Amino acid sequence: MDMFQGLMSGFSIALTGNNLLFCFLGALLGTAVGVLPGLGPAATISLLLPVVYAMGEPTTAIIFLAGIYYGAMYGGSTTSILLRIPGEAASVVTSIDGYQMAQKGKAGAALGIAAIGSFIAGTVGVIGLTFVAPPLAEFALKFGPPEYFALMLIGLLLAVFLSGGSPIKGSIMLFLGIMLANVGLDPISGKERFTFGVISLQNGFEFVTLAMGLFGLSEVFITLEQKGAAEFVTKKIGKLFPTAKDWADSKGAVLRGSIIGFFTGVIPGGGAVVASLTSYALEKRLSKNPEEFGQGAIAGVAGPESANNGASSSSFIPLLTLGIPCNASIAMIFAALLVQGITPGPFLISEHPSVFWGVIASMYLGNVILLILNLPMVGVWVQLLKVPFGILGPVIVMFTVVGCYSLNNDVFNVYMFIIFGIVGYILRKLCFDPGPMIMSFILAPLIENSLRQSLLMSAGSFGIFVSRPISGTLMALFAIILIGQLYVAFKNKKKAKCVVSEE
Amino acid sequence: MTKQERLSAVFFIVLSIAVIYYGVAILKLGTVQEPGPGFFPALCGTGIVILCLVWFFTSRSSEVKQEALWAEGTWIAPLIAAVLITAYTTGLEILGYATSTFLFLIAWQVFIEREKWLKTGIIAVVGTVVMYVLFSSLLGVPLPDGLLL
Repeated sequence: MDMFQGLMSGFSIALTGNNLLFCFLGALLGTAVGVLPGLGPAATISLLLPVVYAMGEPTTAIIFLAGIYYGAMYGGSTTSILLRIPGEAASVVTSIDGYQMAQKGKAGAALGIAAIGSFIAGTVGVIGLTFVAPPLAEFALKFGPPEYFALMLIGLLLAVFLSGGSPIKGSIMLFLGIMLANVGLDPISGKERFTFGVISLQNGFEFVTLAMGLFGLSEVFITLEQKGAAEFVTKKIGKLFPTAKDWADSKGAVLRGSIIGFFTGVIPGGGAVVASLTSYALEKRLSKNPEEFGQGAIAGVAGPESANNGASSSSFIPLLTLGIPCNASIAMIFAALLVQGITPGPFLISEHPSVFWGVIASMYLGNVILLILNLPMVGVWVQLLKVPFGILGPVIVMFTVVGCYSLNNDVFNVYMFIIFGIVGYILRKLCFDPGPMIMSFILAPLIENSLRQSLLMSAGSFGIFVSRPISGTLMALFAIILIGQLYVAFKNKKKAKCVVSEE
Repeated sequence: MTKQERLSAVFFIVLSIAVIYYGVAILKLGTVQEPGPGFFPALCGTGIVILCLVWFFTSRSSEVKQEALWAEGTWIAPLIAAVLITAYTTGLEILGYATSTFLFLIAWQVFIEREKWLKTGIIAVVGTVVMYVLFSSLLGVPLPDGLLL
C-alpha cells in the first residue's frame, strides 16, 4: 500500500461514525483538560486508560487518546492568555506575551492567532508524519535486538537531559522505573522477583495504577495544596480574528514554530515544552523589536503555540515507527496499544494498517475540529474554570478508584494506586520528574529482553553493540550526547530548574 | 542540595542496596552469556547508588540549604485526602459502592472543602446517583458489592 492509498483508507476509517465521534470527544476533552489548570494531558490519559481498555476497538481507542493529547495543547493557550495560568506546561511561555496582550484589550487577537497557528502547525506536523513515518518504519525493519537496545538508551538519555530538570534526578527516576517494572515473573526464567509471596504482584505492577497514581492522584494532592491561588477573572475578549498587521507580524513565527515543533517533537524527551521554549527564544532573537517581548508581542504567542502543536503531532513518529514513546503521554498511548494486543513498532504499518493510517487521518480531522472548537467557543471554555475543585477533585478520585478496581475487580490495585499517588506527590515536592520513570517502566521489558537477546546472540560479548553498523552508529551518538551534556552540565553549574513534565 | 534531597538520596541508596542484595543473593546474577533474573535489578540498583554518590559529591556541603518542603499547613489537605481515599477504598468491599461513595463525598466536602451541610448533602446525593448510574448502567463497570448497595 503506498502512502496515498494508505491515507485514503485512513480517511475512510477515521470518517466512520464511531471514530469521528471519538475524535471529536477526544478533542473536546483534550481542550477542556488544557483549559483546566492542574490536570495535564498525561494525567487525563492515565485517568481514561481503564475506559479505553474496555473499548475493544484499538483504532477508536487511539484516535480518542491522540485527540486528548493534541487537544490539550490547543486548550492550554486559553487560560495562559486570559488569566496568566498555563493550563499545561507547554503553554507557560504563551502566558508571558499572551497575558500582556489581553491586558491591552487584544485577548481576541492572541486567542485567534494561537488557534490559527496551532491549526497550521498541527497540520504541518501531521503532513510530516504522513511522509516521514512510512520510510522510517521500513528502515527500522533492519533493527535487531542490539539496535533496539542502543535506540532505547538514546531515547531515555534524551528524555532525562531534555526534560529541563536535574539530569541526576531524572536518571534516578529512570532506574527506579526499570526497578518497578522488574517486579513480577522474570520473562525468561519464570522466577518470581520482588513479589514477597503476594499473588497479586506476580503479574507485576499494573501500568494504569502506576500512571494514574504518579500523574492523576499526585496532581489532585498538588492542586489541593495550591487551592485558592487561581481566581477566576472575567475579561473582555474582543475581536477574535487577527488584523492584517497581526497576521503580518506573526506569520513568520507560525512558520518557524511549525518547523521547530516538528523536529523537537520527534526527539525523545523533546516534545512540546522544549519546542515552545525554543520558538520563544528564537522569535525574540529574530525580532526587530525584541524589547516588545514580554510587553505583548504577538509573535511571542504565535511562535510557541505553533511549536507546541507541531511537536504534539510529530511526537507520534517514534511511537508509530520505532515503538518508542518519547514522552509520558505518548507512553500511555503506547500502553493502551499494548493492551489492545498491538505492539507499536516498524511492523505496525504492515500488520495493522487500519490503526496506523486511521490514527494519522484522524489527526487531520482533529485539527479542523479543534479550530472550530477553539475559536468560536472560547467563552464557553473560560466558563469551565468556574467548576470548583471541591467537585472536580472528588470526581477525579472516584473515576480513578473505579478505574483501578475494574482492572481485576479487587481493591489491591486501588491500594497500589494510592501508594503510587503518595509517592508521586512526594517525588514532585522534591522536584523529581515522574516522566522518565513512566517511560522507563513501559520500556523496561523491551530493554531487558533486547539486552539479554543481544548477549545471547554474541555469546556474552558487549562488542555486538559497537560492531554492527546501525547499533555502532547509535552507540556513538549515545556517547556524544552523554559527553556533550555532561560537559555542558559541569561548565554552567547552574542550579537546575524544578520542572515536572506535563506532557 | 537541600536537607530533604540529602535524605531522599540516602533513602534511594538504602533501597538500592537492598535490591542489589536481593538480586545477587536470592535471584542470582547468572553469567554474561546468560544473565539471570537478578542481573537487571542489580544493574539498576548499582546505577542508582552511583548516581546518588555523584549527587552527594558534586553538590558541596556548603550548598546544603534548609528549605521547608511545605509552606505553613499546606500538607494538611493532601494528607486528609489520602486518608479519605484509603478509607473509601476499604469501605468499597465492606459497605458497597453507593454507600461508600456517598460517605466519601460527605467527608470530602466537610473535611477538605469545609462546605455547609446543605451543599454537602446535595453534592453527596447527586454525585453518588450520577456516578452509580454512569458506571453501573451506562458503562457497565462491575462495581463492588458490600453489606449495603
